[in-house]
Amino acid sequence: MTAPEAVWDRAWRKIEALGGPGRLREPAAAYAITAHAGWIEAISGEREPIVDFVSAHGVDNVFATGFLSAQPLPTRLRFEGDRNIVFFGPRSRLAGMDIVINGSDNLVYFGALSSSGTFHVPLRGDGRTVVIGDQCMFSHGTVFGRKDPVTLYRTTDGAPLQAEGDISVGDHVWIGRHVTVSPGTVVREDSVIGQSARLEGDYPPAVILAGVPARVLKTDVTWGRSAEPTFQELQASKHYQGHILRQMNIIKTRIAEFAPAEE
Amino acid sequence: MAEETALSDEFRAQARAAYDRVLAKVGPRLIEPFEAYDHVEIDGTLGLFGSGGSARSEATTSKGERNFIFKGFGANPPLHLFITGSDNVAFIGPYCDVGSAMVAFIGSGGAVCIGAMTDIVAAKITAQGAGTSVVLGERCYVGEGAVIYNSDGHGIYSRSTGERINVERDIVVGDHVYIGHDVLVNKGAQIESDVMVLEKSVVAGRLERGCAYHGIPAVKVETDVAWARYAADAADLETARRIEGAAVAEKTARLRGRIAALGAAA
Repeated sequence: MTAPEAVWDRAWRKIEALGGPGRLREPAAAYAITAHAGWIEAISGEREPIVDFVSAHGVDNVFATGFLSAQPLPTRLRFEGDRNIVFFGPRSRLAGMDIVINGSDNLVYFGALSSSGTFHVPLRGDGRTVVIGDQCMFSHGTVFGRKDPVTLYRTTDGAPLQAEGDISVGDHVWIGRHVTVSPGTVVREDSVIGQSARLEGDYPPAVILAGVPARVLKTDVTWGRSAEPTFQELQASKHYQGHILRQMNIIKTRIAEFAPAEE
Repeated sequence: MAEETALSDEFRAQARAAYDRVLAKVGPRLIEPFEAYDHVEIDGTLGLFGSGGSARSEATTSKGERNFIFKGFGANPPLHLFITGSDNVAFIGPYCDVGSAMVAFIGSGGAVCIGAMTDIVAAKITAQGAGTSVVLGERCYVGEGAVIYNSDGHGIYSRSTGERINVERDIVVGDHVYIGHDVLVNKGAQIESDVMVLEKSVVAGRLERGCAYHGIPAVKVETDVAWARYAADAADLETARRIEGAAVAEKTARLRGRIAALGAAA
């Protein structure tokens, strides 16, 4: 077993190396580490430990939450393997997480200021990533991954039919209720996903997607948490200015606080 | 709860008649004889028969008479039962692995039959109307949140004739069918063997053997396609089929052994 600090150090290098969405986060030094059997808990700021609903069969797994992130509701976090990382960014509000990782070296990342109702991440395999950007908003019952442990194969050559790749959800994506995001899916920034959709594939940015299987219903869109008559008014609104920007500034201030320590 | 010796001949005859209805529905299958059900409980007017273990249900609402539940050998059925009506029978085949299932009968003379070695993560299966049935084959997989319901639950009528236009229709699911999570299987669905229904689809009508279906409504999306159970991480179909075949062969052999032993005893 590796020393907790070394586990965190390795996990952080992997998080830092991450391309794509979800960039707003404090440096590694902001996190306090607690070691448990098979996993470590890294907390930035105040939060109750979640040890009661974590099971780890393996070594050097990591669960980390950024500054001002909400207490995850006690559902399930299961590590069946080694060196897996689950990271919730600063000011994330992720209720009812149900994360089950079967395999090693996987990374599940939720960006800053993202919020979600109950969600399920069934991850099988090694070295896979599920990366969610900053400022996302997910309703209840989202599934990131393949919930059924069933694989389809082509009878012509016996190869698997469905993509088994990583999942990437861009910054500022709104996902409606009961959406399933299949492995290999790429959703890009500003998109909106309709209720009960099943996503599979690589979608363009700023689109409305819906249906089973999902298709593009509208392009050139963005959305906001408060419903103002225009996007300009949304950006000028009390909610956006007073809440979202303020939260971002708080996070940025904290990042700056830790910056000298990095030198 | 009653001792087996206390069961009346009449009750036993009613149970056997119900079991015979199951046999008539499913045909010659991997099924134990009636004598195999050595655990019997009576819950109100409901008869619970288990082969090699209890058939106790998680929660039961039962109104009516002569309703029977049969649980095959090695099946693990945490069933929630909801029964309004009489002469209904539910059959959970041997080695069924059920995470959580609600089996409901709304009406009388209904049958819900689930074949051997079928796995259900969490589903609701309802037979509504008089003498209707929902039959699932062997070695199927039913994902979480699936609903298999042979009725719309409520009536739709022609205004001019007053006739009901959405009558209940039986549902038949073949062997080795994959039903993904949150799939809805509606009245009259006939899903042939080896079909794959991908997640969140809504099924009506006939789905052809060996094809994959997806969407609302579910349409054929693949023809040269197959699936296997117990082998989600297998890299190719041949490996997956070998793993599945070994698991199925082992259970089948044990079951055949038990059926043969019962035959020898009789």
